[in-house]
Amino acid sequence: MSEGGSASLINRRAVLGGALGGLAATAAAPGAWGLAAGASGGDSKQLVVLLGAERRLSATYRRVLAAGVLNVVVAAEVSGFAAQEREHIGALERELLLRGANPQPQAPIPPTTAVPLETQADALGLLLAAENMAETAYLGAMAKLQNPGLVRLAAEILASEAQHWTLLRALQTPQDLAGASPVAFVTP
Amino acid sequence: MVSGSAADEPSASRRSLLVSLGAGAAGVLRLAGCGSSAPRRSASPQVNWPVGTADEADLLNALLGNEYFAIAAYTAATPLLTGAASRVARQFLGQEVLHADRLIHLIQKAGGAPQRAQASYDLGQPGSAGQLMTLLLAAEHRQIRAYVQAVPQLTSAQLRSTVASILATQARHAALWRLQLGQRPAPTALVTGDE
Repeated sequence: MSEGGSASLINRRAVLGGALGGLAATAAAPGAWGLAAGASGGDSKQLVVLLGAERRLSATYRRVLAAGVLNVVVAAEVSGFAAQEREHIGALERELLLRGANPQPQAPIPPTTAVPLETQADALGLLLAAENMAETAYLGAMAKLQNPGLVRLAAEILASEAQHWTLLRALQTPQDLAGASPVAFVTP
Repeated sequence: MVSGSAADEPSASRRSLLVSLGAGAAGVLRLAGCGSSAPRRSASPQVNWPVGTADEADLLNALLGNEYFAIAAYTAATPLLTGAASRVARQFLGQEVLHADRLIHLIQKAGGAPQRAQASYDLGQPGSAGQLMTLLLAAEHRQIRAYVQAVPQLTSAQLRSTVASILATQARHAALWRLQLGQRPAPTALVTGDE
């Protein structure tokens, strides 16, 4: 079930090709994140994938806020979401540390420059696509994580990302609040 | 006291809802509206939904009970709301019905017997639009709490993903009701239902 219509699909493709395009490569190479050899269990690998997704998402928020295209009200909301993304990163880093892995990336996050940000609509479209990618990462991890505590943490963060998506959509089209929760099942 | 029985829903409202849900959801809505009727199978049996265990069937049945409560709350509140709130409530009611339908199928696949909706639910005495939306927000929070607790207990990976996808939808509902109520729509980085 797709969400957000053709405009969002275009944005999603653009993001896939650019802003978040490095995620798959990063996730496929956990060594790039300094994952300790003794902590290369399935859960640690999933944490690395999620941490990569969160870092990409956080970088996207930073880029949007730095572009200066949001009005004051929208910028305040988006700043709040960005702060919550940093909390997600902190929570995932703590879990990786507990498993003996180094959560710090050995390479810097690539800049998210593929999509032009000239209007607020551009910015919200980019964030919607990025949040959708994050939801996809968490839904995928949900099936693979083993530790119940990690499953619960991932579920709570997934729900947070889902709220961000809905509120960004509400900011984008405030006249269509029902469209901010368009499907009964949030799927990849 | 607001009756939560879907069977009490005004027929005009039900017709309108049926139109908005489409013919495919009509049978599902009947299921939700008639607490004494037996659950029905979906019209799309080709879908390979995950198979759970007996324990998981019990867990899913508890989630189904919360879905019935939410359906009752939406059924009672939707006709009393106006404007955007009414449109949102109507859409969310349709989504809750689909959640219940999916849970029923998962329970049956796990060899369990889906519980039936109660004849009525105590929904309190909401008198204003704000009170009605507060009731709906409470129903969503109740569900979020239940789903967050249930997901780690599910051993089937596919089942876990399915239930998590419902959790994400409930979180979206809660955010929009908080927004409508003038509250911080996403107050915490970890969504537990206790916000």
